[in-house]
Amino acid sequence: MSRSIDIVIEKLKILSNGYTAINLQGEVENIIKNKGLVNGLVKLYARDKCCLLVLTEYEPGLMHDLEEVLEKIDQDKRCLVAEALYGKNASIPVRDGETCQGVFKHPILIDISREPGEKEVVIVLEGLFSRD
Amino acid sequence: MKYYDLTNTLYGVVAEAKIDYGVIEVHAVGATPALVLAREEILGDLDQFIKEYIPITGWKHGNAYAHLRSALLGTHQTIPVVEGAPVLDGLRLYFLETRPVHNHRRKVLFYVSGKELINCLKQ
Repeated sequence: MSRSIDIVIEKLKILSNGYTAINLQGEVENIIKNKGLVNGLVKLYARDKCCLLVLTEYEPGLMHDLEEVLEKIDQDKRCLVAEALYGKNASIPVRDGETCQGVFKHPILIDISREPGEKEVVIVLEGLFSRD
Repeated sequence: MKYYDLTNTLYGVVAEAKIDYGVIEVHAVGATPALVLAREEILGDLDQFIKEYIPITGWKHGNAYAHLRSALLGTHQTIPVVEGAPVLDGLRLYFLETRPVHNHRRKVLFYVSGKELINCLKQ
C-alpha cells in the first residue's frame, strides 16, 4: 500500500532593497533538510506586489540581461505585466532529499517594486518526509 | 527552436500511476529548456514571438537567450487528472529545446499524486 503524502508550509522573510534579484536556493535546501522532505515537491510563492519568482541561473550577466528584457515592458505597466509574464511561483522537484531541477537552475526572487523592506515568500513542501 | 511532443509519454505515466483523480506535474531538468502546453497549430506563432521578444544576440551572458526563453515559458507544468487521464482539452505537451544542440540527453521528471476511484468514493 502506498504511503500518504504530507504537507508543510513555511513563510520566508527576505530583506530587499526594492530593486534586486535574490537567490533562494540555499534557503530552499535548508528547509528541505530541516523538515526532512525526502521525495516530493517544493513550491514557492512571492506574495508581495511587483515580486516575481523565476527559475534560472543566478549569474550577474544573466541578471542584467533579464533586467533588460523586463525594461522592454512599458514602465507604467511593468510590474503587473512582468508578474503575469514571468509568474510569482516556482515548483522544484525533490528526490532523495535533494533538489533535482538541474545544477544551474535556482529559484530567484526578482523584486522590481522599488519599495525597500521585508518581502515574504511562502514555501510549501509536499511529499514523503523522513519522519513518516 | 525544436519542439518534442511528450503527450503520449504523459498519458503513459498517468496510466502507469493507476490513479483516477489527482494531478501530474512535469519538470524539465535544466535552465535552458521549456515545457509548453499548446495547440500544435500555434507553435509557429509562438516560435516567432519568442524569437522577436528574446533574440539570440545582444546579451551579456553567453547563452542568455536560451535562459531567458526558458525563464519566460517555464520549465514545469501542472495538469489535472480526471477519470484516469490528463485533462488537456486539445492541448499537447511539448518539450522545447531553445538551443541548437544535437544528441544532447535531456531529463524530464513526472510527479503524480492522486487517488483511485474507490478511495475517492470512500470520503
